[in-house]
Amino acid sequence: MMDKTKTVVIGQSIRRIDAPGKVTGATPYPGDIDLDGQLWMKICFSQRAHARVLKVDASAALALPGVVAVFTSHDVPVNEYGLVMKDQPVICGPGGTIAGSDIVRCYMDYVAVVVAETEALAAQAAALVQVDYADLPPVFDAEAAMQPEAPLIHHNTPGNLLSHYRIRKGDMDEGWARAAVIVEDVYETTWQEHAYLQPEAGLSYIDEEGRVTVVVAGQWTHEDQEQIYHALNLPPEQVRVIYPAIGGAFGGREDMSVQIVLALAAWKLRRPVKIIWSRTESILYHHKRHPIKIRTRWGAAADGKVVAAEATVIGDAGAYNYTSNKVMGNANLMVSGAYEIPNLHIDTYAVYTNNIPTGAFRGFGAPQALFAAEGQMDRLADALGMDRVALRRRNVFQEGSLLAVGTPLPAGVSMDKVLDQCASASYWAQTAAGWQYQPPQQPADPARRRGRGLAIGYKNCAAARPRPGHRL
Amino acid sequence: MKVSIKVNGKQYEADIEPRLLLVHFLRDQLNMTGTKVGCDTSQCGSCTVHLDGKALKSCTYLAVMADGSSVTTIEGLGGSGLHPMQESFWEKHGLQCGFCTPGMIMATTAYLQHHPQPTEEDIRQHLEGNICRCTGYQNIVAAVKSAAEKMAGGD
Repeated sequence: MMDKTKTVVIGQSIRRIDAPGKVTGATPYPGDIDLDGQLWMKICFSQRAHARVLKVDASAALALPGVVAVFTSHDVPVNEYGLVMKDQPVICGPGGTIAGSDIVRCYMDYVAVVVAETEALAAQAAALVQVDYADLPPVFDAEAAMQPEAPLIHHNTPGNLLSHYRIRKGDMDEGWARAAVIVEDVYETTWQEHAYLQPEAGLSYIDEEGRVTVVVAGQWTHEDQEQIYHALNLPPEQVRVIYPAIGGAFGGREDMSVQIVLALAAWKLRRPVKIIWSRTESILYHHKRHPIKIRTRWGAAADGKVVAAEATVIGDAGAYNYTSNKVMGNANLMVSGAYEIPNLHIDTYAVYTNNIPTGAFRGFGAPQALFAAEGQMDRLADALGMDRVALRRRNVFQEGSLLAVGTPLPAGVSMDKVLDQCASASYWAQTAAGWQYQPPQQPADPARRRGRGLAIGYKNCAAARPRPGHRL
Repeated sequence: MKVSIKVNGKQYEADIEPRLLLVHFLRDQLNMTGTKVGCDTSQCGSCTVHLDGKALKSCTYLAVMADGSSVTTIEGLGGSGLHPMQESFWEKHGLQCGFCTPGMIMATTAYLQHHPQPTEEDIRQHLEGNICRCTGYQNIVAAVKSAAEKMAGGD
C-alpha cells in the first residue's frame, strides 16, 4: 500500500528546470535579445531636483544623421504612471493635460527619450537635447518636508504626506506607570541600492498581431502591462509584456524603468527599439530602500516585561510613491519588534521629498523597523542589568500572542525555540542563574577582536494584492 | 584594426574599432551573449572568459589585445555536452537568477586547472572577484567542490 505520508516532491531535491540554459549561457536575459532593424534608445534625465520644465529643444539632436526620433512630454498620450498610484509623469515637460506633469521632482525624472540607429549615436544625440528649467525650491529631508513652510512637491498632497498609519493599543499612562526603566533613542537608516547584477534593459517591438510588445525584466507582469496601456491610451489587448530570464530584482524591479518609453517608441516608430542601461544609470535611476528615522521610547518592568513602547517613524519616500505607502505600513507593524507589548502608540509616515524615490527592497520596511526595536531591547537589558537573551526570551512572541494590531498569532510560532538554539550556539549558556553571555576567546592578534550581537527579525509574508476590506 | 581571434576553437577575422571591449566583441559581433556585463568595471566577474587558458574579465580588456589569442566562453566550455562544473552548478543549485553563473563557472574552471583539490576556504578566497547578488554562495562553493571531486575522479 502506498505510504500517503510521503510525496514525490516534498523532501526531495528537485533539479531546477531553468538551470541547463543558465549554466551554458544559452538563456537570454533582456539585454541579450536583438531583432533585425532594431533602433537604440537613450534617456535624457532631469538635471534638476525640482523645477518646472519650460521647453525641451531637440533640434540639435534631431539634426544628427541617424537620429530617428526624440520623444518628449508632448508625445505621451496619458502622461502618468505608478505601481500603486499614478503620481509620476512618464516624461516631464510642458503641454500636458495632467496637472504637474511639467515638473521634475528628482534627478531620475525623464525629460526626453532619444532613438537612433546605433547606441553610440543615441548617446551622442541625448547630450544635445536642450532643456530650459525654472527652478523650484527643493526639499531633501523628510522631516523638513512635513513642515508647513516646506515646498509642495505634488499639488494634491498637502504637507507632502503620502501616508500616516497609527497603532493605539492599551493605555500608555498605565504602561509607563508600570515601567521600572525607560529607554529612548533615535534610529536612522540610509538609502540602499539593490545592485542586481543585470542592469535594466529591454526590447520593444510590434508583434505579428500588431500588438506592442515589451521584453523586459520586472516583478509584476500585469501591473507593467496596465501602466503601459494606460500611458499609451491603448486597449489592454494591444500591449504585451514578456519577462525572459531576470538577472535579480530584490524588490528593485517592482517599479518600472524603461518599459513605457520603450513601448511608446516602438508603437510610434513601428520598429524594434532596444535599451541597455550602464551600471551607472542603473544606480542613479532606479529606486532605493527607504531611509527611515525612528524616534522611540520603550519601558520595561523590573522583571523584564516590556510594558510600553511608542514610536514616530518617518520614511523618506522620495519624489514619487512607488510602494512607499505599503513599505511604511510594514515598518509600522514591525517597529515594536517580535514582542508582545501591551501598550503601544505608533505613528508612521511616508513623506514626499525631492530625493530619489524609495520602494520595495528585501524586507519591505521590516529591516529598518527591527533595527530600532532590537536596539531598544539591548538598551532595556542594559538598563535593567538583565541578560540580552533573557530579556528577549521574556517577551518574544508565542503561539496566541497578539501582534501590535491585535491579530493573534496562529499555532506553530517557534521564535522562543529559535532564540534558545541561536543563543546556545553563539556564546550564550543556560545556567542555574539563567542565560549568561560567555565572551568568546580573543584571537592572539590584537588587531582582531571577536564579539557577538543578538537580534530577532520577523516579517509578514504573502504580500497579496489588496482587495476591498483587505489591507496589506 | 584587423584582428584574428580564436573563440571556442573557431578562428574569427574582424576589422574592429581599437576601443571595442572584448566583451562587446563577443556579445555584439559574435552574438555570444552568455558572457554578461554586470558592473562595467571588473568588479562583479559576470564577464569572465578564458584567454589562453587564464580567467579574464572581458569588460575591461580591449578586443585588439586578444589578437592572436584563443578565447573560451561559457558557450564553448563544455564542447558538445556539459563541463563537470556546469553539471555541478546544476546539481548543487549553484545558481539563482543565473546572471553571475557563466562568470562563476569560467572563473572556477580556470582555477581548478592549477588547484585541482581546493579546500572550501580556497574556493571562497578565489571567488572574491565574482559577485552573486542573490547571495547564493553556499551552493556555489558546494558546486565547485563537487566539480573538483568529479574531475579528480576522471569523471
